[in-house]
Amino acid sequence: MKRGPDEAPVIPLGRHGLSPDVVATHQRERLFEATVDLVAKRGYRNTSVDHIVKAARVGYVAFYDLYAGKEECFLAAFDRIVEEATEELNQAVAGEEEWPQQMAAALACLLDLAAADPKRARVALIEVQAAGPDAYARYEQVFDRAVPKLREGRALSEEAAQLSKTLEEAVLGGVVWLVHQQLVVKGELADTEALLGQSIQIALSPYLGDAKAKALAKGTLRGRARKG
Amino acid sequence: MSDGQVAERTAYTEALIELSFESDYQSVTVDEIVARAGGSREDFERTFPSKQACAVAAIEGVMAKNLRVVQAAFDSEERWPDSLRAGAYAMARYVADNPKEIRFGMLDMLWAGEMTGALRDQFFGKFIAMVEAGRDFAPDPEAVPALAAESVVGSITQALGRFSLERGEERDPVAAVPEMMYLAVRPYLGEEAARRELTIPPPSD
Repeated sequence: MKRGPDEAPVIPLGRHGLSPDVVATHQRERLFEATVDLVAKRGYRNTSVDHIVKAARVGYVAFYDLYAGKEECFLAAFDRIVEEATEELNQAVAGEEEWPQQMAAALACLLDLAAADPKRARVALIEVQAAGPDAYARYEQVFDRAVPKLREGRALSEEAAQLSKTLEEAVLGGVVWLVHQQLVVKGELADTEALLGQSIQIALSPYLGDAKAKALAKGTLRGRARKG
Repeated sequence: MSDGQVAERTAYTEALIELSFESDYQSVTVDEIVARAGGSREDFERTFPSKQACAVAAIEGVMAKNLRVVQAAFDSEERWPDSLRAGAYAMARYVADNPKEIRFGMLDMLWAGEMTGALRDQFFGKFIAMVEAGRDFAPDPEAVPALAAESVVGSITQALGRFSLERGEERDPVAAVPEMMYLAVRPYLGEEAARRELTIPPPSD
């Protein structure tokens, strides 16, 4: 379970006998939790180093020992969210043998992650786009990493050569936007199952055809319902 | 509002958009806006209570102008997807011709969360309706996913985000229209009609 900054472990005041590495790890953890919490609530631009160190209960000197400033601290949080989400996605996909089921599992995993922790989702999908050119470039790199895997679906299409050249970017952009809209408008992913069914259909129809994509969406939702 | 007041408002909003393009919205000060617009601090404060209020007025102006242009093009054709294609080219040309406004709208307002919910809904709602008009022409309207139009508009918005960050130097939004049309037409009219969009040349001006 994810912790908020108030529940992250606090180093006891005074002499504690902990090594500098252990202290730095604890501080990084508290800064990560505080950054995610504050940026998701206030937005990147309205969050300051002052806000972060107070919420994390970390001193300014310790903060600047770890990060050059707010942007670097934010980028570290973004990288960690992406790294942890990628691990979960890889696990979800590894459980499936065929490409269509792998893609359905990846979409389900992505939506489940966003539903379970809308703050992290907000940071990684929305706030990163307002956090300056370096952050945006990093977001783009993550986005671009998913393109080759999606492009493998062209092998299943009878008319792969005639599919639109930018189809993968467009498909990913559309799915991310659907999540983005729910997070912005409702603050959370309200109906994950409905969104998942539609996302599978929209994203995979160009590769599988409408009927197969619809059947895959139904099958995926049935499987999830059975698992509870 | 008198013509003079309108001109004054426009001078301030245009100054803010320009300055945001040159550096970034967050670092622009009211004094810089005033200096660029050739006004005075008193005039600015009489017109807007804050920089944020000036930004909201700026984005409302950009959206209204953009919607007017795209809607007029959309309405100039009777049948979908001809209407959508006309609207898409109008949008792409607007984006190519107004990089400062687009960057301000996308990066400084939309992604930064400065755009109000009502304004977002109003703006994106119009574009979603233009795509969703395809449902009336779909062979099986009920088979089209309910979120198809929203996803198409989202894809295009993400693509515009990339364009605006690159300050329009590398990508040509007009050249991207056939690909956007493929994406928009496919859920409603099927693969064959969508592929046809990839071969239709842009209309001559």
